[in-house]
Amino acid sequence: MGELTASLAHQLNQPLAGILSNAQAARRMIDAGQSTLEDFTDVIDDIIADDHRAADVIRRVRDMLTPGETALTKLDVNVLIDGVTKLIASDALLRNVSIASALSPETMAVTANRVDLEQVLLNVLTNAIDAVAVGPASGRVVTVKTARSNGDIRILVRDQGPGLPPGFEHRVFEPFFSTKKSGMGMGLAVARSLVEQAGGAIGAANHSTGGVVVTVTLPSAAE
Amino acid sequence: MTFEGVGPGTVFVIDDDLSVRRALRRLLLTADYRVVTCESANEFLLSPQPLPRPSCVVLDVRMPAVSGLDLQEALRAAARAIPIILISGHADVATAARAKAAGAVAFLSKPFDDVSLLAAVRKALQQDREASTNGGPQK
Repeated sequence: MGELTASLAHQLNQPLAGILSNAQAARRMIDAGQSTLEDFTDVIDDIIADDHRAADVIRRVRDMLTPGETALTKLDVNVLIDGVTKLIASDALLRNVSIASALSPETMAVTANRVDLEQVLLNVLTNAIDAVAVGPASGRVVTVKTARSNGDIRILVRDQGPGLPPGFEHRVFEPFFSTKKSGMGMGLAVARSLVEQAGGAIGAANHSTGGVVVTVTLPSAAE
Repeated sequence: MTFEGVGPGTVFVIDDDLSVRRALRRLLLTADYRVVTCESANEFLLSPQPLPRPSCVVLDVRMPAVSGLDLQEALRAAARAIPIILISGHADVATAARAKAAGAVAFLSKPFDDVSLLAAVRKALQQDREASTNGGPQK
C-alpha cells in the first residue's frame, strides 16, 4: 500500500496545487482591481477542472478498494478461463485476435473469490489482446495455458506483442503506471492485489522469442 | 513558451502539468513579474540566451524525460547559475535535502501558499540581482 499512498498523494497534490494557486491568484486579482469578468471565468473554469481531476482519482481508488462479494469458494481455474475467454471472444474477433487455450485436462482447483479471479483473468487477457491488436496479423494470437507446478496452479497468458521495455516487468504492477496512452494504470495493480489476497502471486516477463508472459500462481485447493 | 508581464524580474515556470503552469502564471502576474511558462526542461533549455536578469526558475521535480533534479544539476554546471525554486507534489525528505544541498533557494511541497512562493521568488531574484552586481557567478 505504500506506493499506492505515495502515488495517490502525487495525483491529488497536482490538482490541489492548481486549485490553491488559482484561488489565491483570484483573490489578488480582486485586490488589484484590473481583471475582467472573463479573467475570473477562466480561473473558475480551471478550478472546476482540477476539482473533477481530483474527484476522478478518488473514484478510481475507491473502485479499486471496494470489496465485492467476499465469499471464497473452490473453483476450477480451467472452467473460469473458459468463461472469461467466451466473454471476450467477440471483442477479440473484432480486432482480429485469436485466443488459443492450452488448458490442462485435469481439474485445476483453487480456493478464491470467483468475481476477483474473473477480474484478474479479464484484465490480463485484455492487456494481451491490446498488446497484439495493433501488430502484424501473424502475431495476433494470445495463448492461455494452465499447469501444475510444485503443488501450485499456474496460469500463463502469453501475447506476441512488442514486449516490455527493460525494467518495466515490475513497474507494470504499480498503481497509475501504464504503457497505454489512454490507460489509467490501475488494471494490473488491481490484479496483483486480488491475486495476493488469494494467497498467490503475479508476474510479467518478456518471452525469449518475443511478447510478454504474465504468470498467475495460486495455491492449489486441498482435495 | 510564452513571455508575459512587465515586472522587474522574470520567473520561468517549468512544470509538465498544464493546470499548475496556468495557476502559477496567474499568481506571479498578480505580483507584477514577467512570467515564462515551459512544459518541459528541454523547452526551458531552448530559451533565448542570455537569460534576462534578474530571473529565477520555479521547477517541478517530477517530469517525464528530464526531471527537475536533472535540470538543476545541468544548470549548476552552466555559466549562468540561475536561482532555482523546486516544487513537488511528491515531496519526500530525501529529495528536499538533495535539492537544498544542490543549492536550491527553496523547496515547496504542492499545494503551497502564495505567500511562500512569492517570498521564495523575491529571495531568488534578489540572489540573482546580487550575483549580477558582483560580476555574476561565472564559473
